[in-house]
Amino acid sequence: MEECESINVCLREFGCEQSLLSRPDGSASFVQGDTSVMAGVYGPAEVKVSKEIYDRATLEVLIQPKVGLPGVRERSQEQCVRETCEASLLLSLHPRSSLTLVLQVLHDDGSLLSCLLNAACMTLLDAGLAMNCLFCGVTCAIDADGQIVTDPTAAQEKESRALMTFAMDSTDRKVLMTSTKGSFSVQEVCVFFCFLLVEVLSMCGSAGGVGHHKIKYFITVRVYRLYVFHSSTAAAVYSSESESIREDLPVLQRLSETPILQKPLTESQNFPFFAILVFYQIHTKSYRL
Amino acid sequence: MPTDNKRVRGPELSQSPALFACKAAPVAPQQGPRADGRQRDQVDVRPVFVRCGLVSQAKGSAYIEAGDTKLMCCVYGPKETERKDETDMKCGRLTTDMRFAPFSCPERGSWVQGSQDKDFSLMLHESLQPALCLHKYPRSQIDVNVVVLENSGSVLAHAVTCASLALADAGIEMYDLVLGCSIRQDGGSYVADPSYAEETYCSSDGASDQGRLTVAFLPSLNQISGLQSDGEMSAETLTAGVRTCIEGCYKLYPVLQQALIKAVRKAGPPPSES
Amino acid sequence: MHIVCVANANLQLLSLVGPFCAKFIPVCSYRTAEPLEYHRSFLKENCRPDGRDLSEFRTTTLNIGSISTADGSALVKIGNTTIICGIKAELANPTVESPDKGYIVPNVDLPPLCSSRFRSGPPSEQAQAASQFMADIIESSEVIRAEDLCIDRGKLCWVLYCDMMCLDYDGNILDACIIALMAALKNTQLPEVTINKETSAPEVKLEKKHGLTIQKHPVGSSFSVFDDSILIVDPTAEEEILSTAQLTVVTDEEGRLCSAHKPGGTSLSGEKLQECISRATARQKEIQKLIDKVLHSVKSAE
Repeated sequence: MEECESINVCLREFGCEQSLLSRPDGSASFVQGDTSVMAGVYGPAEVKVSKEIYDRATLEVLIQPKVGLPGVRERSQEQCVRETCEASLLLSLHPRSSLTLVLQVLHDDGSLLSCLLNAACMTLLDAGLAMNCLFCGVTCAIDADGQIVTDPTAAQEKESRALMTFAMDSTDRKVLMTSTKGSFSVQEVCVFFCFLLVEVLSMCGSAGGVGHHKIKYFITVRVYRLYVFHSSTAAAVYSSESESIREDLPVLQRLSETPILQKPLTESQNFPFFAILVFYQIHTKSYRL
Repeated sequence: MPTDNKRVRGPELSQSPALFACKAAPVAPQQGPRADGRQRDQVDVRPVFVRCGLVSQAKGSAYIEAGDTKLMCCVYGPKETERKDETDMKCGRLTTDMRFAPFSCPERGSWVQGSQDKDFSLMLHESLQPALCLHKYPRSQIDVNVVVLENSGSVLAHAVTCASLALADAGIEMYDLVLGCSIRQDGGSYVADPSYAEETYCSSDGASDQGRLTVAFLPSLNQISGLQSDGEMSAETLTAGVRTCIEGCYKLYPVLQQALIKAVRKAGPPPSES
Repeated sequence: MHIVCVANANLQLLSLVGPFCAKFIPVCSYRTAEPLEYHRSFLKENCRPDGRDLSEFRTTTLNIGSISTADGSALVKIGNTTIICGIKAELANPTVESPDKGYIVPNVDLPPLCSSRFRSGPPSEQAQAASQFMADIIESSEVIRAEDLCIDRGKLCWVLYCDMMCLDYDGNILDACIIALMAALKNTQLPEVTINKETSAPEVKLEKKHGLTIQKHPVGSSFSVFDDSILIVDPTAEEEILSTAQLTVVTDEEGRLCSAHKPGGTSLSGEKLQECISRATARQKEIQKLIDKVLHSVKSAE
């Protein structure tokens, strides 16, 4: 049996931009290496009578491939994204209404499902929809030698004998979604799970960890940017954006130590998303000016 | 041709291996006893196996097997009309849907409903409607869904029978059961309840009186609710054919009665108040 | 044990509606009025409304080769859930990218016949997701080597259309689809095809047939998560609606995982997932035994 000896935890360079579309209520683009997804969310809006659910909002997810019409594969991805979002959104706050999340694939260079999930999460955040947790998706491949490659490219995906995509939530750090391809032994999953869970908890920069960390980092930076717009200390933050993933932890600490955000933001602490979101929404206007 | 995005796609073009067969498939004999041993020119219908109430989710359901022809029917409703503009305040609505499983015919069919399926749905609708007390179900809709699992001839006739059984099993008020029977006229002779090969076979000598006939019949009212005939037949042959079909229907009747009685017994007495 | 539960259930309702009408409310209306509470009252006692354990599958029955117009067919019943799978083999040209590979085209259909929740028309999202899931299973477990379906490299290959149709929808169709597909594939007989050297046209000998080489025997086990924590196996349609998450684990005979599919829903810890995997491994053995037994009885009957 193949052993998964060394696990090479490195994600491709990734980035995100929010509020880049003016029409949707929330939008974001997420880039992982060369894989890129643009997303927009509309709602809460009126719902068709046939789709109305009396005690919560109806979430619809549409995935548009880069070329051609959406097919069966997109439909199955839609199901994954939708049910993951449904679990993290507080849909019961908007009964009898509709939310439509549209994801446009700009380029697929591997790990598409995880990129879709990340884009979805960032978009929901941007729309200011109430959520009970954030989620992030990670794809990993097991190559022919039994080594785990996180965030594989399309070429690595092709060479791999198994491919797994997980979505984790930010509060309990449990598995929200799994989708796998190829056959693999039970041990490999165990190894991966232990690895994922332990690493996430200890925040040593595992795949899941970095994802979360980075997503939070985005929000922080974003919020911070809103703050600094007023406190005119923009230079420090803009330079922090260009820093690499490895260096983002000090940035976060730096951020948390700044007097504007009163409480220090430690990783173990639950991020006060709601407050930030409300704040963020208030300030969007001024920021856009 | 528009591509189907909602299903897993295969190659653009594929052909049945039967097209390349070295030996031609055996042709149904045109004289003497039929391929399955039944008699020509007699009302020799295939023995049927009927069972009611198989589908747990449906209000009523029935399964019929005649020779290799296998059909299943489910009835849903009466329920609220789906489209509000079609709501009839005085009368219920009957909708019928008949489809063939892709593997049901010797040639693979497509998932998309073809014109033949739609024709059959319409015929089914017309045959069933006179037997139903639709005025008892105002503003509501009754759905009849038929799936052909294996097509070995006389599909429409058996679909009618199966659907009326399912309606009875669903407890929909009816004037009578509807029974279906079909024949294949071939010149001077005919075959009752034809098989797929007998149904599709083309007479080479161009003789007159070539056709197929399907009759839907209400046995206790002694009325015909549906009649479909293709091909060219003289008036006398047609009337004789209709009579043959009615005779065939009467042969089925006791089997269906037994199946219904069995289904009712199985359902047991209504739960007592306790 | 579960009679006790019913009594409990009724008592709870009693407190809600007052004592005067309690006599006239049978258990079934409690089930329709408060389905979630109804199920919870059973789960509290570690059993389910149909009398099953939390980790008990419904009775699985299998019928092989009943459709003579198909090249291979199987009908599977898991409790009330019924799936019929028919396989039709046709000839086609292989793709230019992989000239030595045939095609396997699985499609799942949920016709309006099988449940009142499905409408006629194009396949629903659920049907499409199920079709994609089946395609993924076939690809990842390598049930059949696509090279085996090649007749003449770059010129001719087999296409196996595996059409699965649900006849009765009572939950857990994915498990039933996999069993039906596997049994039908094992039942499939392909005619012998040779290429005529002179005309380079295929010649089919319909009377000479051979079976397929099945490499792996994947079997699925589906789970539902109730109230974010309770895991139940083989959910019915009602349980599927009420549950907060679904999970399907597919394993093959070597205990390797072919798929761990959880399309979302509430989160699950790693240990719970482990539990599911070990239950799935046990289930794989049971089902493979069942398929082999039925196939054997079909063969000996011939």
